[in-house]
Amino acid sequence: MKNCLQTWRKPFFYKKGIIRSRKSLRPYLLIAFSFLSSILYAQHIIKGRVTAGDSILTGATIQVKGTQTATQTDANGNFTISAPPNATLLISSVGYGNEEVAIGNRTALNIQLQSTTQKLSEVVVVGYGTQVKRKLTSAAVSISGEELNKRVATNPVTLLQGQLPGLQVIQGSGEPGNEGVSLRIRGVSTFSGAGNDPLVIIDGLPGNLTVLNPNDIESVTVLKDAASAAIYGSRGANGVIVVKTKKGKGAFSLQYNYNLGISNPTSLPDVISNSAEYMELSNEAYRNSGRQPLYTQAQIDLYRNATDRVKYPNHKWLDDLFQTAYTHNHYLNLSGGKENTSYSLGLGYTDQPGTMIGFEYKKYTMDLGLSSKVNKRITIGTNLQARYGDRKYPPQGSGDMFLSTLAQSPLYPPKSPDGKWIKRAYPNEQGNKNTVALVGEDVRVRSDDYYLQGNLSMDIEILKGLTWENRAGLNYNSFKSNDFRPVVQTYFYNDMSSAGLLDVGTPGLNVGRGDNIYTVYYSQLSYKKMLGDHNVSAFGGFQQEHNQASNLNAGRTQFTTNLLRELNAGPTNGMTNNGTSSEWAIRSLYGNVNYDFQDKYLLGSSIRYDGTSRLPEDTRWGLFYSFSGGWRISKESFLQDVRWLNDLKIRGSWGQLGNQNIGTYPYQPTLSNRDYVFGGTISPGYSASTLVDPGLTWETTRVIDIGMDLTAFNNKFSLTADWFNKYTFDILRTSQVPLWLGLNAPTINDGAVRNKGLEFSAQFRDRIINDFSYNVGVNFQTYKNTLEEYGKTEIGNTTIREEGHPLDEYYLYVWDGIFQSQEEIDKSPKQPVTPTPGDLKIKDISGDGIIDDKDRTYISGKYPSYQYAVNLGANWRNVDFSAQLYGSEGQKTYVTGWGIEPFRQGSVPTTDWRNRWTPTNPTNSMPKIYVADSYAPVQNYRSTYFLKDASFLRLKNIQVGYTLPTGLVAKAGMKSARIYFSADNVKTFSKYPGLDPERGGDGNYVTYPQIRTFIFGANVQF
Amino acid sequence: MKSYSKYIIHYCFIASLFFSSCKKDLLDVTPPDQLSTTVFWKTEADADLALTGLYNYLYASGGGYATSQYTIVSWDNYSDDSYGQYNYGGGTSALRSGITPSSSEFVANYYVNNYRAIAAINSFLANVGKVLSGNKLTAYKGEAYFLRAFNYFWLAQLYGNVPIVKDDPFGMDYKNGLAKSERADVLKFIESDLDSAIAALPNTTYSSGHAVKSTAQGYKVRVLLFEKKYAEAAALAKQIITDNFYSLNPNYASNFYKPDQNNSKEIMFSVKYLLPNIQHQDVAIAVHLQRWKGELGTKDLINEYEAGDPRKTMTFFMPGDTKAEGWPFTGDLSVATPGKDSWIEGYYAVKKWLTPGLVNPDYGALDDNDYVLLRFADIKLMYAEAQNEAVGPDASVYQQVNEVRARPGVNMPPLPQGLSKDQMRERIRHERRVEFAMEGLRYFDLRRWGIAEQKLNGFIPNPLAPTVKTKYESKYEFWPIPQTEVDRNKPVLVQNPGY
Repeated sequence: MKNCLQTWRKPFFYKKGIIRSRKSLRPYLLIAFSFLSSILYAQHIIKGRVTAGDSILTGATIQVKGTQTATQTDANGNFTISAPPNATLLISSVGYGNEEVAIGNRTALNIQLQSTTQKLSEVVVVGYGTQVKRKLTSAAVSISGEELNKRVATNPVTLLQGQLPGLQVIQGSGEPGNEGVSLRIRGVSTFSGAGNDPLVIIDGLPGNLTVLNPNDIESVTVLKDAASAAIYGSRGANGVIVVKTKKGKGAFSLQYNYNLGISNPTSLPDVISNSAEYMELSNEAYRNSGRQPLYTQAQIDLYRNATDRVKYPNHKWLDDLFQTAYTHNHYLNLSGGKENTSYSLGLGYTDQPGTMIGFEYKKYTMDLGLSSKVNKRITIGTNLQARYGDRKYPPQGSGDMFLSTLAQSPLYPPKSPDGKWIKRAYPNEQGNKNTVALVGEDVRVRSDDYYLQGNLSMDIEILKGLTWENRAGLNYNSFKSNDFRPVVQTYFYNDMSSAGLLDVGTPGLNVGRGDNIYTVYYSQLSYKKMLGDHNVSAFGGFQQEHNQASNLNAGRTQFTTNLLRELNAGPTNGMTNNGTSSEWAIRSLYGNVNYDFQDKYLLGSSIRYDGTSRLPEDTRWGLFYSFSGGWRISKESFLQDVRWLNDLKIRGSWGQLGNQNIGTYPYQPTLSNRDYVFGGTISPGYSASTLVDPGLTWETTRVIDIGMDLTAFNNKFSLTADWFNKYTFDILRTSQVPLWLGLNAPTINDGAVRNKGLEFSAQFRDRIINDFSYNVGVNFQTYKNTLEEYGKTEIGNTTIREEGHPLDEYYLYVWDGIFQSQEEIDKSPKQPVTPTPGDLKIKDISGDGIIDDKDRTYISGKYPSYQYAVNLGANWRNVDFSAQLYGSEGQKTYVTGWGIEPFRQGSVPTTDWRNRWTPTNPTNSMPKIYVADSYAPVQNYRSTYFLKDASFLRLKNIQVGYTLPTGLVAKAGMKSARIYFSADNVKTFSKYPGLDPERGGDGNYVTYPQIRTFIFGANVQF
Repeated sequence: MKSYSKYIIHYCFIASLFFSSCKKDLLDVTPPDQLSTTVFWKTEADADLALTGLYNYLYASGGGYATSQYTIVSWDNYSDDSYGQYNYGGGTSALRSGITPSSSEFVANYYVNNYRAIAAINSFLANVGKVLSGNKLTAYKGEAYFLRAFNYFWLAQLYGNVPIVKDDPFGMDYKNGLAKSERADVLKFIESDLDSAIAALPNTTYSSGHAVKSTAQGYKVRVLLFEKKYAEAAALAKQIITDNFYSLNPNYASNFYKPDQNNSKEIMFSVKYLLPNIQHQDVAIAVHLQRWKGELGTKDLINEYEAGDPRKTMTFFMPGDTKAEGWPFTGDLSVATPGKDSWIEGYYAVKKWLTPGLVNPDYGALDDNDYVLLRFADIKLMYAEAQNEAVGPDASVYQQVNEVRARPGVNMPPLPQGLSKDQMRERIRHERRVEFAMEGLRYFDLRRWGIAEQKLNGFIPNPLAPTVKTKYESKYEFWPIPQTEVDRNKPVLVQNPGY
């Protein structure tokens, strides 16, 4: 038996497909045996074997389609089943895709199943090509479209969260069409304008991921280390995300998906909505802040004792701002292949209103993939994605909508019973704009966004193994905006006197047009050769990219009507316009070589030579390269006896990558336009105000990666782990110049940041009883960020850039409780403000008895200590279940203002303030209530009082699906049908106060809330 | 096999064609909407363009919210004249919680504004000789010297001790930082720049927006007064008066709105605006001042006006005012009422700077009133002040103060005869406060008189809220150098004392 296993493991082939052994006679024997059987029985006896890649599959289920007849493979992967002639067999096994095999008049079958996740022969899409997974020597992780689409979202980027170790996905908000997703591969590695966004490659060429409909995605691969990304040279420093869209194959298939999502904010602050309580707290806060209270006792009593709750309401403004949103998603796909042509056409439509009023997003997508082998050597193809995004949103954005709503007191409704918009109850109240009026009067930007990305390819097989690939792509983006601000009267609720115009900014119309054309072309030769035990593959090519952007904006004010929102409807007096264009280009030569010996010792190297228009002529060309190696230890003879081990590979890589994505003309000294009025006319003027560095060159990132891949226990278990050390130097940064120089600082190459980290993912899948299978996946990532070179320490408002510390580490005063008495104040170190009992007490870090700048200190929490995800899945007969947990631990956010501080512009305090410090409630966890409008004893210090623990663990998604029995759906002319229920952002565990802890960064406490969505959907295939 | 080699040859051919056929300059792109500095300073016209560019710095942004540094009305929020309910200019927070090197952005903002202008001026001075010569060169340089002095004087008044930079910033080595100079040295530098300007500028009336000789002279009077060089100040002020280019505008209020201010013979320097394209920063001043009441006069200031002084109602609205008094609002707001529409009770709404006839100014309203930075009335009162300090209350002192008081439409009686020097000083201080209310001079006057702490610390802006007091410490005579500047010039530049 042992020998037999070995024989089955040894062979390797380039093509997936039927496995043949050169040595074993077994298949021939089987065929012979089957042949005999068929003569003996009326029903055919079918014998066969089920394999996956190099492995045999035990316990796979074989069922005669449409019957109850079923069996399983034995320990050798063999099975025997009786079936009528021309029947179809359904073969399934945990962790592998189902396969249908028409028997025809065969009696012996070799069936190859595709693993859905961990497949050694799986092909991973990497830079400028594909690579068999087992031969990978670089750190690349991928996920199939199928896995990705287990969750449902309108923006495919959000689906990547928690799926791929090393990729950090933060969704800034739940705003439709503007989710503010930030992608970081292995941490923040630079502070330059070149940014930390990874390069996104779609079907071989740079593109935009949000344009896609998630259903059109076939796979997503993240290239994390230098070995995998170096082929993208100048643009690969922040890692690369490679996306492949669907191509058709096989018989014609029509698929239709529909789902309905019902969304609400995950959490909202709990605010005081009782008017009398609000007024009393307000007066207390004003008194505490040394200011004149706003409300008289008589006014408070009016609200307290009112029976007319229309005139004296306890209005809940947040209920006006948020609504339940119903999102509809339709997706239709036609795909198939005939003769030498395959095609796939996906059409999507999403209608997504916001959970916050005023926001709406409609997205139309199309994805077309075509490929045709025009003769035996030439294949041509095209991929085309189009998106039209139709977005409406209030012009000041969601953060402003939220904070403005909080800045409304409960003393009045948005609109009076007779239909007038209300500004405040009383003129002396603080406040902000009436957001309900804003939406009611349709003060919304209309934004139309047309995006088209497409490419044409022609691959020519010149010789066997030698291919010439050509690919030309175009991304075209055109956007329009129409931002009209009407003239809207508002009133004071107490006496309905007029209160001026609704604060919409300057009334009038601004329209904008912009477009961006990006073209890219590459041509490469690739070569593959197998010489005995030696395998070589190599490619090399030339690439050219060019981008041109332009925009045009125009505005008019003083419209005489609110009804027309086109430019010509407004007066020409005071009209404005502006517009410009910009361009950049990159030219590159690149090459890659992979070599392996016996599929056991693997070596790879990439090189790329890039020239960019962003850098000066003498320094614009940069050379980037990488080396990598792998050792498949499991192929060594000393491990052949270890039966539980399927595959074990260790690998390492080293390489350098570039970054140049700063401004467009960073080295060119220019004049700014500076006009002035002389003698009643405008005179043109200019001055130079920016320094430039004529010797500017590339920012470089050097990555060392050591990793291992392990598959064991009959492929049930797999593990991938990576350690990395990523060092970015010559950072393209704005230098620090003294203020007296009076010039904008030049962009220079200076500074270095290091990220060291660890990431791993593990999967286990198994079956307990015949009908029940499950899988568990865990992934984990952690990294440590250090600013290694910076120059003079720079202290920001809440952060510090100092060598040896994490980049932008928090640097704050330390909050040390609450002053309980004047006596305590007198005994304590001298504070720079004059505190009174109930104010924040700041810790004297330097110990010199005085609180001053020296008492700020380093506080951890800028970056998460670690992030993790757990994916669970189970199948029982026709029912499938999946769940995802996602957690991020150790990060903190510094948040201030509306919602977390009381009475910022009169904003309502949260109910937490019922536990505020008072002489009778000597708490140490909250100060006395104050007016958060330059209240020095709290707001003059940037202290840890405002730094909140934003760690969380989230039940990101659960889903239950039911696949309708084939017999049943066949009657309806369908191939398959599945219905499901899914819930997103189900439950979050966090110490973060009030709102959702997942947010884009520091700043105002309120941002567009994350949403919890319940989804009902169906997928049907014809 | 042969045919495949043909493919390869084809490939090489196409590839080489591609390389060679590509525009050679694909990677050589230049900004399509900005001139390169390399093409500048070639013709005489460039001198005009560059000079205009220097004046543009008068539109620099302010502290606090987004008004301009030279929206001078906001500067009164730092004093006992007005209350800035939206913290325009940063005055409110400065008075409420004090000034620190890293507190509110206005400390850094004004500093940066002035040094940016100075950098442009230094660059201008270093280059203008390439395209101009002779008298024209002297005259152009004269304007630059004036503007440099103007900017340094802001720095000297606010921060006191600051670095003196005179060279072209594009050629400077800035790596090692620069120490600050003493306020006295900064003032000396300002004087010498003003002297150069006075010598070079045309001897004519200010009108187009370009500084003229008298503008520079007027600023020098301010500088000399600040330095307490009273005799010199008096002499120079007297020269301006006798040169007779200027006269008091017979309509006091029309110094502050268009189009009347275009013809005012009293204005000696101003920041020019022009509708429709050069508008006030943020919003029209009528919106921030009259509609939003961003600045509100204090009861203390109102009480300063003598009985019957019409400048009170030319500068402020009184409760009960209607259209007849110029109140711009209609409908249910047609009667001026404290407590209504952002008018905080206990304060007074501002009338100065409002264009008469503007109805219900609100978002979208347009005005382009020039911000007046120097008036002839100031020269007269500065003369009086200097002369009184240098010589005592002689007849010329009386004459100048009385002329300001006797302006048509103001018609205030002459000062009583027989005032002592101290009494005259108080009279002049009083006169300055009411004459220049809401023109941004009060804060600087209080500081140079050395009475800022006495007047401001513990000051109650609103008598209806007696617990709310302002804060002023003697160290504010020298504002702190912005923390960033101290950090970037370590160790040579040290913070002003007390911070």
